[in-house]
Amino acid sequence: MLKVEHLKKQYASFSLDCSLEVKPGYVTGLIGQNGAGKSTTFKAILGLIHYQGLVEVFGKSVLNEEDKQLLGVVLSDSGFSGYLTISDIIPILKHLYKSFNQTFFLRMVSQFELPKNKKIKEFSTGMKAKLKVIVAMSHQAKLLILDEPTAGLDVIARDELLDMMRDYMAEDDQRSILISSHISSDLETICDDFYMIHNGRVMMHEDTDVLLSDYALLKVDFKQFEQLDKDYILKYKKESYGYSCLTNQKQYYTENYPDIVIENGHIDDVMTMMIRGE
Amino acid sequence: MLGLLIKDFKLMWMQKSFFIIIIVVGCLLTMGYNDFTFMVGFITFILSLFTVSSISYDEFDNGYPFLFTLPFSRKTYVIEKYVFGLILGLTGWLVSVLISCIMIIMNGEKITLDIMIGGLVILPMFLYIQSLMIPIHLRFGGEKGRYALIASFGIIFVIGFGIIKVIELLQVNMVPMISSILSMGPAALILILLVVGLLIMLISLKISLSIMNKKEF
Repeated sequence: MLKVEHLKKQYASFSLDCSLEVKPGYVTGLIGQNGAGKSTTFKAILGLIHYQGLVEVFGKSVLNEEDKQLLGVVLSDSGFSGYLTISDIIPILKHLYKSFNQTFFLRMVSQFELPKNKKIKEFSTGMKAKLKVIVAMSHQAKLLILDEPTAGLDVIARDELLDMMRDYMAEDDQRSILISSHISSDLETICDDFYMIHNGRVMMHEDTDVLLSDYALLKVDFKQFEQLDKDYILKYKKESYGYSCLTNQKQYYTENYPDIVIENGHIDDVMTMMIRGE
Repeated sequence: MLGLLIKDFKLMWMQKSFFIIIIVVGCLLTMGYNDFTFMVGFITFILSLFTVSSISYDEFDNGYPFLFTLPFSRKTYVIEKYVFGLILGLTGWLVSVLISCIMIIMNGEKITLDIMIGGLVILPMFLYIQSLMIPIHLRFGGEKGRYALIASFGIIFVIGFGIIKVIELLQVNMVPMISSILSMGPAALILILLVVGLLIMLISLKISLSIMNKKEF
């Protein structure tokens, strides 16, 4: 569906070298701190910036107008002109997308209680975010590229949007989503796999199931740390009580070190340890 | 392309009260100066400004990145701006010619050849101005575009002045050429100006395409 190999982009104080893949039927997450290179990666995939390396969407390196019909996009910092209203954008979408589903679009607009005749620039952050996701999902896209789609939403609205994404995937098992979010719980519940990006480099790629089942945070005091088998410790970090250690072999430590505190791994913990740990 | 045109017309429609004011002001000035061709030039040029204003609306609040994820190419976007400009300019020209004619007739005067030439001459002028403004606005954007436009008028003046000076230095006699052009008659002259305008617009389109292809969002 989407293949990125050594996508390189050089800015004055930042360089990106990123590889990732989104398989058909997969929801793939891209996580990282602000400025890690997530948006640059998205922009390169969408052909918005010039780059070096390989980006293939639907097996093609250059997207034509027909290919773009099959893409649904949410960008965190960009959308339809704020001077337009929802009523204005309906005929625009109808003439741009061959498969625009107006009934679905209007149903979602009323479900999320979005005003049809108010200028988008007068919308709240949450309303704008909802509209962006509805637009992306309203034309039977094969691949959704969603950069921070849940930013600025409250918990209920976030859950509603995540449900929409699940329904969207359930409708067709060949659809895929590439999604970035700073809310890790969103990604844990929806992503099949995820890539962690830091300073423009992919630090980690893992299946979400594996992360949740095999990764763990060991909390040990100084003495326990000295005695600990460090073969399966990926990263460790000094804490006030001793050390916190990240492992991808939870079972091994659960069986062999029954006295130490072992917490299940979550994306946030893994990201913090991968970035801050030694 | 149609979707983009709808977008631009929707954005323009928001400023409908501004249009009404322009037409009223145009009518008042026309009556004030008793110059009916003024109306044609005034409305055509003001309307043509909406082409560049539509570019500003696209840019507003970092709108470009999302816009270019929609199913059209950069080439389509650029062509649409010229098409939008032509639709606006020609409609504005036709409407203003119509209003002028009505005003002339209501004033008890006749539509003379001079008035017709005065109205027709606006069309190639409109093509030249659009051809200059669109690439400048695409390259420099709203704020810098204004300065760039003033600078480009300056450059055109300097180039024109330079050409005259070179002709003077080379002691080329331009009088026969000028008189042969004038002897062609107004219709042929306007036709030539229109063909030149279309050629300039094609060159301008090429430049705009190259500007947009190099842009990063």
